Amino acid sequence: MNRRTVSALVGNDLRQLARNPRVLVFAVALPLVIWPLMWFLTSLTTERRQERLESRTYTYAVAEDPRDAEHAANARAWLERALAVVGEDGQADEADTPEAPAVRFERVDAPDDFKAALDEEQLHVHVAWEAGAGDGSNENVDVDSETLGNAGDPAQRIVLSYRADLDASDAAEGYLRRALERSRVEVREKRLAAAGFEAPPEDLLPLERIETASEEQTSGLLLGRILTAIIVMMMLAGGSIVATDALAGEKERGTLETLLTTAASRIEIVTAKNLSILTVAFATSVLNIANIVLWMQLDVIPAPAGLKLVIPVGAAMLLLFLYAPAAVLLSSSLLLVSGRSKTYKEAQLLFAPVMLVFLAVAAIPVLPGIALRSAIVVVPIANLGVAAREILTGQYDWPLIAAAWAVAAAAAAVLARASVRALSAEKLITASDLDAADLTGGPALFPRRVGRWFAALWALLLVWQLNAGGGIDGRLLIAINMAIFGAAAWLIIARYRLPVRETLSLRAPPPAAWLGVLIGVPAGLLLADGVVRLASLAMPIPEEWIEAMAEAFGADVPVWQTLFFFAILPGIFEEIAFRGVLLHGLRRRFGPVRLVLVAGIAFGFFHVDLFRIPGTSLLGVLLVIAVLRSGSIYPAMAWHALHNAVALGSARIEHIRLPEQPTWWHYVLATLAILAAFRLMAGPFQSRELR
Amino acid sequence: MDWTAIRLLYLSELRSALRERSVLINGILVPLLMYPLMMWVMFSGILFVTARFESFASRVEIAGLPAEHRGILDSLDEDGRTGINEVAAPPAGAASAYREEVEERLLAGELDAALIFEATGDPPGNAAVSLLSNGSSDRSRSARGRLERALSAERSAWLERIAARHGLDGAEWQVFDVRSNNLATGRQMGQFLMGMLIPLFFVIMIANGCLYPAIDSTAGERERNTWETTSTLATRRLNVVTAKYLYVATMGTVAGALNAAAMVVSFRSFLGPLFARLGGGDGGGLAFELPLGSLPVLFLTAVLLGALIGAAMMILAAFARTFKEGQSMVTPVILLVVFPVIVLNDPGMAFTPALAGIPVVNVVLLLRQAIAGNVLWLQLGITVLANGAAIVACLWIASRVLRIEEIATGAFEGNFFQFLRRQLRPAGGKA
Amino acid sequence: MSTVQVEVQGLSKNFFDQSRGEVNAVQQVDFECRRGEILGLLGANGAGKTTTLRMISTVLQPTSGTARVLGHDVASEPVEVRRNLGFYSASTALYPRLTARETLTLFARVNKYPAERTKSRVEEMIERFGLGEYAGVRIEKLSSGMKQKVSIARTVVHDPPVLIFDEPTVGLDVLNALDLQKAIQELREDGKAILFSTHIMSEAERLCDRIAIIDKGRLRACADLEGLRAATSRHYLEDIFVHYVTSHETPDQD
Repeated sequence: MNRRTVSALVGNDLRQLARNPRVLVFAVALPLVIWPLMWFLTSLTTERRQERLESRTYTYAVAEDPRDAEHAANARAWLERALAVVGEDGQADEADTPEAPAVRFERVDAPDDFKAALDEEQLHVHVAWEAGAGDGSNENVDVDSETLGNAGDPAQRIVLSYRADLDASDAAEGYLRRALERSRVEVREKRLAAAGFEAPPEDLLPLERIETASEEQTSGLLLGRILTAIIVMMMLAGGSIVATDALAGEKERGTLETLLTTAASRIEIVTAKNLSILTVAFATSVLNIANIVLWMQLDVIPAPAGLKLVIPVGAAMLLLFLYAPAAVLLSSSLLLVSGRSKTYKEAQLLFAPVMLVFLAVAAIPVLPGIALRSAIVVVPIANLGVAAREILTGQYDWPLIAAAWAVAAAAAAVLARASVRALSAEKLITASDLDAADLTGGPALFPRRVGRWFAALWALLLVWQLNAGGGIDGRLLIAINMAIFGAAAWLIIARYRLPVRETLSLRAPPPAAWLGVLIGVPAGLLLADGVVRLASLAMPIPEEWIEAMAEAFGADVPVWQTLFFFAILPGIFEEIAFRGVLLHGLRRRFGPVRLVLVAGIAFGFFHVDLFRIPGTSLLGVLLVIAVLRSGSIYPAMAWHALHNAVALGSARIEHIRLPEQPTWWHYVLATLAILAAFRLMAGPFQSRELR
Repeated sequence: MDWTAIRLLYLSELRSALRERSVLINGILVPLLMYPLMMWVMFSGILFVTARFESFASRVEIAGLPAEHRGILDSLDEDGRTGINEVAAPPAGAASAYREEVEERLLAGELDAALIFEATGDPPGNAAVSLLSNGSSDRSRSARGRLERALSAERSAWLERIAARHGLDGAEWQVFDVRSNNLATGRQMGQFLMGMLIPLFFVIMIANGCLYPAIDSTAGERERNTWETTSTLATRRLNVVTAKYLYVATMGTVAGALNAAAMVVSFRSFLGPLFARLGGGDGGGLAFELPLGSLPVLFLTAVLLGALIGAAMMILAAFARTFKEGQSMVTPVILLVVFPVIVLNDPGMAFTPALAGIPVVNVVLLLRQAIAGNVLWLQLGITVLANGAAIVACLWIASRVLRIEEIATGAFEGNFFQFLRRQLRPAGGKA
Repeated sequence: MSTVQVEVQGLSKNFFDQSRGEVNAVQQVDFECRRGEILGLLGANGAGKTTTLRMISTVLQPTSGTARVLGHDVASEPVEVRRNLGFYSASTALYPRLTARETLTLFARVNKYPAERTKSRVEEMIERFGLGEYAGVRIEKLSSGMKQKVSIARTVVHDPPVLIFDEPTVGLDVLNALDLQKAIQELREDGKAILFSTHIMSEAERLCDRIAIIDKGRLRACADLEGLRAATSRHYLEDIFVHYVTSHETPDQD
């Protein structure tokens, strides 16, 4: 890569932008004014509404009932007393009435039809009463009503009728009700004092709240929830200004072809474009943040309560480093979209869904209680967001922070490579990025779509498992998972008209393969156990999980059920989905080593819990090799079922035990046994990849 | 005016619009799907987050709980999600050491919250209570809330027990009871909520619906070099422009109407059940139904806004040479339209005849009233007149603009404001 | 006239088109172009001229066969190839918001022209193509004739030994087209190897040292005008062209 070339290209992009005053005004300058202004005006409207509600006079009426003069008089008396409290509060400026409103109430004569009067806003609240709670004659009971105080035998119930959909009526009811409540507290206190109890009620069980976390940490939680989403949004908004022009715009104007015939390499062009996008995205983000902070400092727009915008320097540097791959990921995906669209207009249209996806992922830290030490660590952007949240609250989980960073960086690299490929000009010039497979939609297309299908399946499973949580019976959970795998496999086979026999490797294996399975299972278990032990140094197995498993397959579950749900079902359906459909789709894309690794690790990732991924990935790798060696899926099915059965058995049956403290020769032996098992499996259908 | 030609041109514009992806998406698909989808995502997100927060299992420690207040344990036990570790009060000398240890466990995440009672004995059973929690952890915040609620319940229960011991019976202690009785029907509440939200999205969607057609039929046509073809047609340019304008206004109106329909449907299918779930009961009986009388008003406002916003956008878009330029020039119209709507989103604002004189704002207020079931005829009349006048003014400007050769052929270098400056200069001043 | 600068052997390109299915755009094309020579690629629209030239300029990847520019293979050393190449076509546009001088500087730098000589080279180009008083004006404000001059200057600013002109005169008026032809002739005199594609007979007749006739993706003939006349015993290039194209109307035998 040539620095001079890249800097010339970046300079060119930035110069183009700087000379486009319209874009600068509308995409950069205008938002700087518009958003604070809108924020300011909205808060002004809210404030003015509040002021209006607090400074006006409300009317209320007390129902007259000649048959029940005593209750009517009581109600009037309570109300007047309560309203007097309101008045006193207004002057006394007490701390426990933060609103301390200057509202005035005016009593009017009870109208004949108070409902009509309320509708027409001649009256804001109508006060009636009920004698005792139990008489059941309250025809006006509304679902929105709330009963205050304790059950028992209240002497009198005051009923406040109002209209919640009319602003003034709704506010009046609120003031009146609070006034009544305050006055009741006062009356109670007086009655208690009269009965000989001297201590004031506020001295009972006085509460002191002690916050153990520092102020930075508590405000760090608030900030950490939204920081990533805000940064992602700003970067996207800023980046898209250049990104639409970067490839799509150049394509449309014909300058891209000029550029492609120069001595700049494709990588140089993509790097330069990414740098331009990043520069502008970064510059506009800084501008926007500075702008908002400035307005907040000037008190033009209110700062959110409880948010202290102070980040320690060390944490800030770490965050900057953390967000770097996220920024590259964003710019690369914008560039990719731009490269894939033929016109500026199309690019713009495609940006919207891309932005939505990024925002959805960036909003994940909002979820309460989400921890980096979970499957979220493999979701790019979301993992950085959760990591940032933890860092801001003072938790530094270094191995997982590193893992999150690596995952995001890898995703960024993959996307950057994809945008280099988007520049391979066939697509630019034939004006159609379809080829034979796309049009016929047949089996040949599937290898290209397999990634999308399984990514969608993984997302589905993740959402489902996160939501299913603890409440569901473990057996049902497994059955549903298997149904999802089976349905997905069937759907894919039907959609791409895949040949079933070939896709699923439904062939008779060489007889020796079965012997291979018998040797392989215990050796595989030992190795998987080793991997889990190794991984547990970084990711300990949570005790809750062990408990949940023990509960799901505890002694009270019949053995046949345990075997059926835990061994046989996965042995069939997971094999069909992963060693059948997934392996078939990936076969043509990778060489043998990568094929085995990718197909195996993909299987591991479907075991959503983070600590399970290493062990199951190893099992996946072994099973993929078994299928490729024997040319048949059946040994893998048997292996998988036996593996699960034995693993479960070792937990339940005394005699089946893995060595408590395996030594290195255990593992050497196991590896040799596995190799021997694979030798036995080789047969006439052994796949080309492994020859 | 040659209405046959206008009709032909209008229909051909509409037909090509229906074949243009971006017009279809922005004019029909987005108004139909976006806000329902957004609402669904937003509200199911809220549900999901609250449910997660509620479902946290809390690990709390209670130290030195006086025998008088064991009721706290029962009320904490109710939801079954609180694991309580009860310990005796630390001996007098070790109190601060114990506190420090609890704080450490809180910070390490081993404990979610702690209540420490220190008996004061006055009155008997009383104690000073410390609630320790870690505000940087969601779980701890949730546990703190549970403990606070349990403590406050216990405090009033205790007060009531004291009252009973002092001879105050239930009724005397109760004093009185307050019940709020909301007379608004579920339908009225539904209309109130819809009145707050629908006009806002309605205006945005009409502007969005006008945007692409306005640019596409002027700047876009120039970019595709079809403008010359159109202007050599055997009809006056005024007819061409009229047809284009009608097309833009139609698209805006359609977008608005579709959006209003989609909003009502999504209110009924997402918001109703959501309120029901959040309210834990029948959803407060909320019913999202538009009163029949509001439908003609809705349609009228869609036409008025479509015509007004379309005209305003056509004026600006006429100056653009490319689609992109058109887009950046027309965007301010959207802002101009949306601004007052957002700023005026105050439920208590009365729709006075004076406000009815301000275009766009009056439409929003008129619509809000109509959705609530009131049609104010005077204000409606003023609204129609005010918007009509604005439309006529815009059209007059548009016709002046398009009469100028340079603009029509796209040779004009500059924007609307430069054009205005030139128009205002004395006739001889043209260079 | 001896050094071979561009060498094309068995070059083929297949791609898939949505409406036509599998298209053999270029099949087994061989030719070479030497220093100081203009080789004309003559063919109807869609004959495969542009695809051939794009493969030589590495914008497209050949399906099979090789093409070398100064000995550099287009598939394995694309950057070296493009560095020694100037590509001009009606669809290679310029950045509208740059000035002529900025455009030339940009492309000199991007094409890795030695940094210390860039400035003088750019001024030399401005002088040579008569851009002087317009060198500081943005491209979008220039007339189409001036734009074309900037475009040619852009093509040669990094002093490439090989130049490709893909239908350069499409859409130009007569005077501009003549200007362009003159410029191309001058470049030949500088010793450049020039590939020039056109579907206009007179242009090919006047400009080219040798003419390669391409039809339906195949090379039908490649020789100088006299050679073509001798082979077909026709005088006018138009007749020669029609002869070669029609004699292959029947399904390909070779």
